[in-house]
Amino acid sequence: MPHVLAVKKGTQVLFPDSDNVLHHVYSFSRAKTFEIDIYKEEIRRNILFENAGIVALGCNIHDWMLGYIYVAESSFFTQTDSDGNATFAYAGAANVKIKLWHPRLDKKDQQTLHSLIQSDTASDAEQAIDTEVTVRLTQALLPSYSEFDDVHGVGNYD
Amino acid sequence: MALETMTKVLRLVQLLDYFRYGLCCVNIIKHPRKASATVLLSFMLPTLLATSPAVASVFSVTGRIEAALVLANAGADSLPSWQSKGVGSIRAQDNQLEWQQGFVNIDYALNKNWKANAVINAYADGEKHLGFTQAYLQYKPLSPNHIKFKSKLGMFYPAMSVENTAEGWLSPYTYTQSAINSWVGEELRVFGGEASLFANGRKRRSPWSWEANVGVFKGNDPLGTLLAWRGFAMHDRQSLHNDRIEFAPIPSVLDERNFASPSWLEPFTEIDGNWGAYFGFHLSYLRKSNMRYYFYDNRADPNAINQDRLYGWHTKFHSVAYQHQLDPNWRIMLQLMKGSTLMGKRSVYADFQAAYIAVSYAQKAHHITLRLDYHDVAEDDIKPQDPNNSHGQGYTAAWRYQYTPSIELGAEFNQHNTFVENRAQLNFEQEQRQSQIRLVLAYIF
Repeated sequence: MPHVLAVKKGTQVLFPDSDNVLHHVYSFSRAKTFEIDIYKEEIRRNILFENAGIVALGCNIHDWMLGYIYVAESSFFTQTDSDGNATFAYAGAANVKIKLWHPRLDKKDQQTLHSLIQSDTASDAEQAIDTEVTVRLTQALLPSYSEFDDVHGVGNYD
Repeated sequence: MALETMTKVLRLVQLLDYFRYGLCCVNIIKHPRKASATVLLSFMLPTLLATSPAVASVFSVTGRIEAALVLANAGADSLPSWQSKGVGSIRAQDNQLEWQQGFVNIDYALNKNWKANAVINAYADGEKHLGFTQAYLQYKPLSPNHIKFKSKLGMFYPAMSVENTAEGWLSPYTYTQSAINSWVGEELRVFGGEASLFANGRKRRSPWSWEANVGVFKGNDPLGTLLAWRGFAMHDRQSLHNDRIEFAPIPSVLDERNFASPSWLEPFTEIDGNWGAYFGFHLSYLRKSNMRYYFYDNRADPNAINQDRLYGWHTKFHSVAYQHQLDPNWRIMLQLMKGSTLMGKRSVYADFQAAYIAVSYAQKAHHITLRLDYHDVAEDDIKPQDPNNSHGQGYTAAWRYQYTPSIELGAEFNQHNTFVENRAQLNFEQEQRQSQIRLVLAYIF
């Protein structure tokens, strides 16, 4: 199951509590500080993400839970699928560069700009159409710790 | 061709597991009247016993009703249980259909930081049949810090067990609990407060999480009485808040030249006015391995006595519990306990130690668990006429099947071999082997 969501600045995100367990979702991130007292919010509530940046989400009832909302400055962003593939459709500017973000990316890899056009002299648009760009990270991904989610029945003291 | 739309595929080969972890399921829907997409972020939690697609509520009532067809071993060594003033060490004493237990668990979120919990149990056996086994307030404020604070106030169990993790402090693995936790369930309860500092690893990019607890409490002064005068038992009967526990009328206990004490105790009685205290530390690796260490000391005055002639028993112990998930199916658990109990001016003094190791296999709705128990109480006091030595082993095999979210079926074999020295005073063999088979039907709501 995904735990990252990318939205454009100014988007409202709805937080319904769709299981039968209470959650107390919060964020202390600079881009958005909020909490949803779901205990009294049985009606779904929208949160507006008006500032660009990374919003780390937690749950005060289930401390191991972690999610992220990537709030993009521009509308030129996309989110990869589970195999790491993403497709960009854009009006052909000459030299588009992108940044990657993932909670497990090293800082250096988060700051690196990647060109979507492999050659700067590609005035021939034909060459650029439907090409595939592969990005190789310079650093290994940080540990996933996905095992935090794997085990059930650890205790009712969590 | 400046306006020509170009499509490019970006392959992030090293992000294959991009979405393979996390808690959220994300759907994006188009809002019919808004230009921007409205995004649904759903928190989907896997729950073993998800009853219905009910919406979480600030007030929840859940519970369990459990009945068992018990085949207890008949014959010469079939012994009445301590609850019937017998010298047996298991709860069952006959072949019969038994109302094993029922409880209602009530959770109420008072506000975002405070939660109230109460568990009300009903039993057919014992001296009291309806009462609280837990009732407490929990305070857990929201904090941006890595190290956070929480606390509890009321009547509750210190979280020292990795076995009693199901609702109502029951074991999700076996029906008959380990000797250690059978004893904790009947004689130990905190009536007081607990303060905790804790840090979850995932938030700070570490696989390690920890929690440190300090608690103080009143009551619980007779803790240890059963270990000295009955020995460890194996069962699932928790004591209610106002409960009285009977045990066999051992002459050296009743005798006016010795203790002139009744052959029962009210385990949560305050006798001396002292505060008891405990300290606990949990360390977890991811959610895979979990270790819990506790030191518990009821700090009772061993020379105090109340109007019922119940004594203060100064009981303290160390407990280490460990759980490890070997793979998605296999889990091992163990607990070690070592301590002592003192009453009077060494009128009764005994060291006790107990341990269990269990392995559990889970496959879909089935759980199979095997457990070995060991326990020992060794006296070293000035009244040899009141013998307190006992020891024993337990063998438990259980199968539990979650037939539907609200129906559980199960079967368990449990054998408890014990030596209890003071049985001789009542003309019973000191060595006893008791076994039982239980066929269980439980309704969960």
